Amino acid sequence: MLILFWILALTCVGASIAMVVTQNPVRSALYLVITFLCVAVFYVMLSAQFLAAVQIIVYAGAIMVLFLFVIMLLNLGAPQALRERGTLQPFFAAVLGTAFVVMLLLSNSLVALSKVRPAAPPEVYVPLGTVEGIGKNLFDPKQPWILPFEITSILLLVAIVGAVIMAKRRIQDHTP
Amino acid sequence: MSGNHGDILAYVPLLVLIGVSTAIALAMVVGSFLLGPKKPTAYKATAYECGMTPIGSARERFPVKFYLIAMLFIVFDIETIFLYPWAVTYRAQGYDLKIFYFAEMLVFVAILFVGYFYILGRRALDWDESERAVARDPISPEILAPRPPIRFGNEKSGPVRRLPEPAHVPAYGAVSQEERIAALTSRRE
Amino acid sequence: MNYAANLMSIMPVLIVLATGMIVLLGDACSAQWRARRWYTWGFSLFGVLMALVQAGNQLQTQMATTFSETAFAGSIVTDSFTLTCYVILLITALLAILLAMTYLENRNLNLGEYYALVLFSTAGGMLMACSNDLIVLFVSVEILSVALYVLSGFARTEEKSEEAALKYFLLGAFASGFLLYGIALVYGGSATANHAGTTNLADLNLYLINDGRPSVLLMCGIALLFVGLAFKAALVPFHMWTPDVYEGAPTSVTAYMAAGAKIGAFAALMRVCSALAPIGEYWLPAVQTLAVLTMFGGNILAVVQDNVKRMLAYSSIAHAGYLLVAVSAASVRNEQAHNAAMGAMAFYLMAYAVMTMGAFGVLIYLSRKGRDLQTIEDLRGLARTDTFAAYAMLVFMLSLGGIPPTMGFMGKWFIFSATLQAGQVWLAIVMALASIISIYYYLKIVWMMCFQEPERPEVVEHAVASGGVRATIVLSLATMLVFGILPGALGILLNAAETTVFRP
Repeated sequence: MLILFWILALTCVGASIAMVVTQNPVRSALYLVITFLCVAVFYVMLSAQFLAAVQIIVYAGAIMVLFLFVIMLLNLGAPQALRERGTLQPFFAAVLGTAFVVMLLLSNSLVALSKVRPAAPPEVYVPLGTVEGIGKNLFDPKQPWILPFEITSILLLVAIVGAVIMAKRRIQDHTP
Repeated sequence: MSGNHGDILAYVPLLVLIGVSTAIALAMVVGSFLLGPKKPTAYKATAYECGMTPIGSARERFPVKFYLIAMLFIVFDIETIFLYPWAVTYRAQGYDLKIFYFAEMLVFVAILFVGYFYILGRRALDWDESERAVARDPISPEILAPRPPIRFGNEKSGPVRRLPEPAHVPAYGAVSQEERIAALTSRRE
Repeated sequence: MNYAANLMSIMPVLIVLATGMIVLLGDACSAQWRARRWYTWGFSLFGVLMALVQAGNQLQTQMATTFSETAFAGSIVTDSFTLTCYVILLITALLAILLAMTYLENRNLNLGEYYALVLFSTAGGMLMACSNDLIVLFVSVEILSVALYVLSGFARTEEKSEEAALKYFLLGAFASGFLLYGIALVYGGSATANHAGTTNLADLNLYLINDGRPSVLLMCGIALLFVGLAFKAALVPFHMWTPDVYEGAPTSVTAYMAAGAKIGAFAALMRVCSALAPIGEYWLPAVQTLAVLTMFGGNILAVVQDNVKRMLAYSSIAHAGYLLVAVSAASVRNEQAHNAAMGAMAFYLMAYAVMTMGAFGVLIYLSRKGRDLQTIEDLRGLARTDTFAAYAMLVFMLSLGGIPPTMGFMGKWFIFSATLQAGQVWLAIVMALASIISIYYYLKIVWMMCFQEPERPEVVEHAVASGGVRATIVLSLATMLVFGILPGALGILLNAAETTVFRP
């Protein structure tokens, strides 16, 4: 299992780096698919099977198609045109990103060293990440997830309105 | 990576499947590369487009309509994602909880239905956005009566020239292709 | 607690949401509705007023009992702070609807979606104010922001508006990522051997009181949480989007965005900070640094602007800094100072919302057909050509600058004294210095309006002026002066918000 984890972790990070440095936007998008797939496998390894399925259906499927649409919509032409020169932004981003990663690593090692351990795996295995587990938690009136669930539909409604307003070429007006 | 993750073993067949399919795909590519004769001609070197001669660049600009439909698809895709765990757990509940579950999902779906009717009302799924198409194809006279387009003040002044409305353009398949072309061209005059 | 009681506790939000959906559907689908154009704004106004009445009622009952109740299994909390924020947000939405009525028509943007989106984002802000769980907080932040992204691009054919929407969306999505990552790390960081992590703010508060020292993971989470919220509230290192978006968006949207989004963001910030108060010594310096940067950054950058909307954008950043001072004062372990700061913050939010809406209302009033008022030069000699607008603007500018007989002054005074009570004397002094800088550019506008000759002395016909805009300006003016002179009249609001969210 650990070997699988390391193979996937290296693939995932490698694909992410490749995504950022590739000049061709379509290739970047395809590298992103690899990252998504690796993350989906991580979810399975963490017993979050439902999330893994969602990751593949929604992200690797629908959202990637949208990405490719956008790339085609923009019609960027020669990939070299995208190149940015003479800004310090990548440098600062690298420094801050490294600092953050170091901080997270530090926190993990501190957690490991300190006596307070993160939540130990429960004695009885509760399948929280399966479709059933998610359903039981999400819709149970005793759990606090009812309201977030319901207002998610409001968020989706706003997204629908936004998509129509932003992307529809002609919206019929009121009759004057 | 240890402890109560016994169910991970259930994924081993999946892993095997992925491995085998990757191996077969690779074998085909490598095999044809190694074994196939290579006699390239100019015609063979062109991109294969279902037997047609490729015209122009593949980097074509897509109309924004695709994007709109993809966006709307994703929203309803996410709705389905929520329906899935609900459907799986619904049966296992007692009577009271079943009513609660049902009401919960009813509210969720009702709110998204508001969005769906909004989409219909704004004709966001109509591919042909021309006035003629809107007038020809009212989904319901009540919901979608023809309306003048929104004016932004930057249109060219003067009356908009409209093509005369054809008496009847037969749909695809209803008549032969020649008759249809004839009907369409007769309108131009 | 039964389901009906759960729903009752968020009744104002439900009313606003239902109104939004009815307006959306009616405008898109019904021919009768479309034939009568005033249905859209009429119904929106009606819904907001209903919600306002409901929120006021609940506030009254709440104050009689001073009882804070949670609903939906602890995911939201209804206390007087929540209800006060409801009232302020609803007033903002009311003014935004009044402002838009003829303005949209004039710019050929008259679509019912505007009202629906304003209502949805108001509901998002209200949910932010009542959220007791970081997950609810995140979803409601998204509702508020997504609606605002769309609204800022509402002038669909104008490049500037589209650009504003795109910039706001990209940076906003990035900030949401920070927020969500922060929530995840807080969840992980608050886990102990005995229980899994929590996203519930009350549980988090309890955990911090009992366990004392936070883990590094939790600190990372808190930092990311602050970054996300700081973006939404436009605090200084995260403010880059503000001037561009405020300038590009249609003015009525800018007005709503400046007030509504800020109220929601600060309500959420207050909730998070109150929950984190037991470990205040770890994050308070960061908040104070942000406050100082925001106050000075906003004010200094505002001085050099010559576009009125950009100037007001930077001024709104500066005001966020003053509000952050109140947050800092409310985070000390001194109940009296905490209560004073909460009250001051509620008062200032109210004052800020009204004066900002008023100032943008004057800009809308002055904009000509198809064109917004842009530069300070456009205001030259306004006192001669349009006395009403000029004097209204004068009061709003004085109030924004914090000059005595106005509500803006009282708000600043309350924050100032609360900060002194909290023992953060240096912060109070910095705040006073920053507001002195701000007076310069507010008075620049006053000077341009009152002491300069107009280019064309004839009275200009303002196309947009309508009952709605006039009503907004007059309402804001009245509020500004009445509560500026008699802040006690708003004592109800002050006392209401003074009950603590979590006892520090």
